[in-house]
Amino acid sequence: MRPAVMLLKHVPLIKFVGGPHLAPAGISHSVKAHPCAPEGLVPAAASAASAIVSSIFKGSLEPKDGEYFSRSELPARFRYTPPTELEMEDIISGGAEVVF
Amino acid sequence: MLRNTLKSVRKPFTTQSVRFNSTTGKYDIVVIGGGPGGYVAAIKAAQLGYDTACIEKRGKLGGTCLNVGCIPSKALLNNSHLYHQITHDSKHRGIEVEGASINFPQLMLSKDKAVNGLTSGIEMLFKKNKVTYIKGSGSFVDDHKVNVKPIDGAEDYEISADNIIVATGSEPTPFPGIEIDEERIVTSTGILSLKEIPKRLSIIGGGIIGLEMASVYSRLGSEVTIIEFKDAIGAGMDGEVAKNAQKILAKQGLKFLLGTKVNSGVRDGEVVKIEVEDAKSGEKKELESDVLLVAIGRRPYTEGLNFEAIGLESDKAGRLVIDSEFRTKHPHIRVIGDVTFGPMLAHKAEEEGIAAAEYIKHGHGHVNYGNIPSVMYTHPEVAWVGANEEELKAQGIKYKVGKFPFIANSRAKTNFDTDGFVKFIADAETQRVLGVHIIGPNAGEMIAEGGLALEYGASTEDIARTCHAHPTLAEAFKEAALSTFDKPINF
Repeated sequence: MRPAVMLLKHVPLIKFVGGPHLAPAGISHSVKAHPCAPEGLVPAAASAASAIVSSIFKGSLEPKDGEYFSRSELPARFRYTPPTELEMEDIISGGAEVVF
Repeated sequence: MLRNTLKSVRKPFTTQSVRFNSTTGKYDIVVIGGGPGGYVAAIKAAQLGYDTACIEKRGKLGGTCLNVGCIPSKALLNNSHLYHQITHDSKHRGIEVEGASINFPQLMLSKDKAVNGLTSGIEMLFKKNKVTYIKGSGSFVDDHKVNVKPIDGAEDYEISADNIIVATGSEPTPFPGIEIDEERIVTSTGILSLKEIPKRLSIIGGGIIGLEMASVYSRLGSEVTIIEFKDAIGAGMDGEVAKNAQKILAKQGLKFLLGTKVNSGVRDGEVVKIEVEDAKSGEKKELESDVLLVAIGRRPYTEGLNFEAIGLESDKAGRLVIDSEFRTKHPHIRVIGDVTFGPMLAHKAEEEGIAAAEYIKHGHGHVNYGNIPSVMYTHPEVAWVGANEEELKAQGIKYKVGKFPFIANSRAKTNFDTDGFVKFIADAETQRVLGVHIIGPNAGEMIAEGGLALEYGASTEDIARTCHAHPTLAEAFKEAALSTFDKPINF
């Protein structure tokens, strides 16, 4: 019998943990001391910071009255994609087909 | 149809210009520091889809580890070990080598070749992963802007980022009152680039760096003395392993002055005069050495970072203060590696680099600080992971110990390389592996199996029931696991 087939039939005493390991649901992002921090030291303004989850902010972020977000200030995925060289060529050539 | 086909063929040639953002100076993530923490964070961030830049002031990537730490020291350790084997450990094996000698400049060139190959390899990885590599020093302007001072003398410019990861590493801790000239009185950096083999080498500090360099120069013919304030060598090692390591290294010719403090170290022409004092009796004596290595530890490196200007805090040891997700008081600025809490080890920084990028992307990352291996690359090697006996006793945790000596291992006996043992520490009730401590040949590679066992929460029975190839050194690992709950077979 081929070893691979035997492996499939074998019932190990050792339990397989399995994967993939997805991020656990409902993680609290409140500020907690780093495991190696001396005496539970945390950043001073940590309590204020704890309200902010991470830069991939999952909620909405509204500008204050009179304030506007510039698209160029937003993360790359919200910005206009710069035209490719090919697109620029097409624009310059007035949309003519590229023929080699 | 033809048009689409042409586009798909040509597309890869335009990708780089889209991703390279030096014209706008705006990135999703900027990493300050291109060492093991920083470069890994930058590559991971780019792989996760972020427009990423990495600022490095050394002019070479890889940080202390690659340039003046782990890698060059391992090159010297490996080659000096080869030389020592040829001159001391080959005749009885039936290998007779006439006139083997050391060409010291070539030994150093070989080390430099290894370093250069690896640093340029990271540059290639940056290109492959579209990470923008900025050669310069980074300094905070505000919490989103970083001033870059290019190393080529060009004008400063500013870049900004949504997220910033600080990974500026560490530097050797100076010894108060001892002036380093990196020629006769050296740090872990200078000892890697000596011009000649010192006849006498004294080392302040019996930690990993000190003992590795002691091994290198002892093999090359130096008379080496290690001065350690504590009563034991190998900071963090299991007590039993540390004692064993000291015994073996002493047998190799290293001299140890334990429980000894250093009062002064002064260069006097071509020698260094060191005054030492017995910590208990107060008896003083003077040593003379050709080179003095100060290896008492490392401290966080934040020079020029201007972190104070944006309100980031450091603790008494100079480490930047972070929380459990590496966030500073500005949550979009994270800090990883030697410059913050935890052991100053390259692989710890790498883990944090991955986790920091994943926290930004997914809000979740993973570093198990209870499972960070340590390795000392002497011969025999010493490696450990998890808890040691002293720590478990202090915590009142009941445990069992299983040991297996390499003298009883077939491969070690075949290789005439039998110093040392494998030691398991397991929970007394569940057999769960709590720590693994190895002194012996190939311990640094073997410890990976211990790390895997710890991470999976394996029991010593799990390891003992796993088939290990024969004849291998790893069989000692299996037998040591077996010894925690049953009798070993081969001892």
